Amino acid sequence: MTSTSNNPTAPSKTKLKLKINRIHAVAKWTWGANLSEDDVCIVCQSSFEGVAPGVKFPGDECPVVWGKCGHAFHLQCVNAWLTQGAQSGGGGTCPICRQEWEFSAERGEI
Amino acid sequence: MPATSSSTTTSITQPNYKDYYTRRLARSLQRHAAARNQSASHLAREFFDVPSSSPPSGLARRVIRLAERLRHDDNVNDVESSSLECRRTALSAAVFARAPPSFVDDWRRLFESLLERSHNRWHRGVVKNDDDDDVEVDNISEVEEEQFYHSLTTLQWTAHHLRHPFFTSLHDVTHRVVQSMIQSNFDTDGLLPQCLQWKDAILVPHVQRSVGTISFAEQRWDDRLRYAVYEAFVRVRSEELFDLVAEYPDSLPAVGELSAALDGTGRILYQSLAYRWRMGLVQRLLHPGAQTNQIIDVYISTIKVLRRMDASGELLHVVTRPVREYLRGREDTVRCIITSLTEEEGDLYEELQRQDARPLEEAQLQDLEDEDPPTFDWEPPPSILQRRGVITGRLGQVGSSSKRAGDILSMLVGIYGSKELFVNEYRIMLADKLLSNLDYDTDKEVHTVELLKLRFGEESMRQCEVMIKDIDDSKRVYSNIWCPLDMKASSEDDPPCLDAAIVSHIFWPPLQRDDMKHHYRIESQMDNFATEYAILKNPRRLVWMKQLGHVELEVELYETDDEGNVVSHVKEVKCTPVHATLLAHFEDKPFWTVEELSTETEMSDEMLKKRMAFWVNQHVVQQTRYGYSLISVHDAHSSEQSFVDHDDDDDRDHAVSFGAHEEEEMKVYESYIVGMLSNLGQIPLEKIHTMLKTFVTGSDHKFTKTPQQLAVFLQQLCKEEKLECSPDGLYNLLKKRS
Repeated sequence: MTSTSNNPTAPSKTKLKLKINRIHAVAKWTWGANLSEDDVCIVCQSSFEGVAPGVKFPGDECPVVWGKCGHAFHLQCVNAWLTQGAQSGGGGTCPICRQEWEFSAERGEI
Repeated sequence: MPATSSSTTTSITQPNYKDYYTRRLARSLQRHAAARNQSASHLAREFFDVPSSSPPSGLARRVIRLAERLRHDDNVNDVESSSLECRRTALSAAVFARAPPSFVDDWRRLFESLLERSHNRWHRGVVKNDDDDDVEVDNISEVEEEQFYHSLTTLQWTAHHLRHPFFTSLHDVTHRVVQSMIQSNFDTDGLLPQCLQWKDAILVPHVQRSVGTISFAEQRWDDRLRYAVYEAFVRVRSEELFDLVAEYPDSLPAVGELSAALDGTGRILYQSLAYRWRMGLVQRLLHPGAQTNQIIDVYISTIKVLRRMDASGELLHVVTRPVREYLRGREDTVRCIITSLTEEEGDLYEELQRQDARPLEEAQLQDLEDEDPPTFDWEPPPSILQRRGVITGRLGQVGSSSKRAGDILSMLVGIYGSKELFVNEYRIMLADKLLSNLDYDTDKEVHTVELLKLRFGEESMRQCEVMIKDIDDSKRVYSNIWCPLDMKASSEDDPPCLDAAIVSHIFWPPLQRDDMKHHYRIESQMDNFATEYAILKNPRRLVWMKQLGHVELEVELYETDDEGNVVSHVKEVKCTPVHATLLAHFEDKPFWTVEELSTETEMSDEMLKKRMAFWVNQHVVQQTRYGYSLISVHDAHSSEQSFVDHDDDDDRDHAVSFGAHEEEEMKVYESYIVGMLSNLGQIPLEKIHTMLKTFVTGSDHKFTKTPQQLAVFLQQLCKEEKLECSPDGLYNLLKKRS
């Protein structure tokens, strides 16, 4: 131990240079800021970051879509809903607010 | 009697000649009998008129003399009434009436020494060494030996009067000889036939000469002797079952022969074998000093051995029950099993790769545990004996059709009666492995998961498949992002050096997520990466798990000395992102107090000190009275010589937080419990457990906890002031005081 190191006011002559060669980090993905982790798709009742029934992998294979009304669903879920609606004669409506369903290009920025 | 019937028909006036003759005959018989008895007791007295401690050979000679006297007893003139049979009876009675207490034991010694003598003779012939002749049948010649056996058949004592010493000697000698032949010899084939050969060479002639060839055949002596050999074989082996198992598979020959010997015996030995085996396991294996790995290895070998011996699995079930119970109480059991299952050199990996792998059935697992626990007075059910041919007499016809035929994996999984636990544990291990996989190479894991799918079912492995795919996808994302990152990098910043494992968190076990703030140099890397990701995968975003990962650093300490020369010390270090952040701050400023650093990184003091210990051990930073400072180049140099690679335990932390996992699992049941208590008031632990078992049957959250686990959870809830537990063990809701 040098005496300088015990004295916080004395400037230490030793300096450090750090070269970062690699960072292997870990992250999780989400569907963005306006869907929280606890939100579930109202149709299948599973998390948006999870999968719709019958789909094996989340993410690209089970995307989330937004309607013009701002409500979000798994693509497979809302499709199933819309097909069912078309069969029973009704038009395609949002499963939540019953407004006319239209896919939104934006991500539910309302 | 014809005489009596004639007397009733003759006239009464005639003198009663019949009475007269009868009386005379009786008197004569009495006289003869008296003479016979007198001579018998005379012989007997003579027979015992020896010093009390005579060697076995003395007894043999006396017997020879006695038999000779019996055969040539000519001094009784009335030939027809002194048949050999009568005299023999009288003599036997007289001798055994006078026999001293040690008589029986003398006989046993005599029989034993005779047997050992012929054994030694045989042994010398077989092994060709004549060093030990420990048993002395002192100077009995072969002629005398022959005479002795002859006398024995004359006297006919062996089968009746001397039954006990005769049998005892047979058993004792057989046991000793079999022991010397087979003990601790597990890897030689043909030991049992060798023992049977010995029986034919030594035991059979000995018994034949002792009891006579006729009664030898009549009393099925050959079968009895074979049984004795089998029994001795089993008894010797039951003393060393533990070693037998420990040396598996080298002990395979011994296992096969033990099984054959068991077939030759019956019920009693099955029982004592099971008992001894069990005791052996309990005493030698199930203690705190044994490592879980060891226990599992022995358990697996035991299953393999018992599977060969009893295809029905019933013996196996009885013997290994304590092991299962013990393993259930150990914390790292599941982890050890899974490790062995997934590592290529593991015992179980081989088992996993078996061609005939069948899916584990939940019912089958339950079945194992729901039975009545076998107790020590377990008796082999008739089915075992029937199967083994003990009852039907068709030996060797052992069917292997039984469902429980010792499938090792299902036995191990059956310890807990649920495969969920194993799948979860595997997920946790897989998560660790995948996150520390710096090459994003998942071939091995894909292979293992495919194998596990065969056993645990497709559905159980779903999440694992997603996890593996996440890593594959991460590799693709990185190769897509790297190019734009490299182009955008400005010259004054670090070149992009970050790659990321991106997880679909729903499918992963809960990962560590303590919040903190990274140093700018690391944070900017993360931000850049996340921005590119958002562009590539819009609308998806990244959330960093800041504690996890792996950083490779080149650390350079340098000083300018008084003459303006620069001295430096360089070393490469691998650490976690947290460590890297902490050290990066020392680049800006060589001295930090704990408080400053803690404010800067938003970490708790405690955590910070723990992490900084890593750099102190690495001899980059030293702890001072006020905080931390860089150490001088000189110190760094000199410490390098004595540097010992010291693994910071925390550094090797598992990515998955175990506690979080358990807790989350239990949280599901909280609402059930609260509902139950608000409806029913006070309930004891057992009832809560039963009710959860009955009502929580959804596919996702089947209730599989033990009452102990439940109790721990309830205690937890009490601590959180949600429940309270009355002194008599009843739980109820804690009433909110409003």
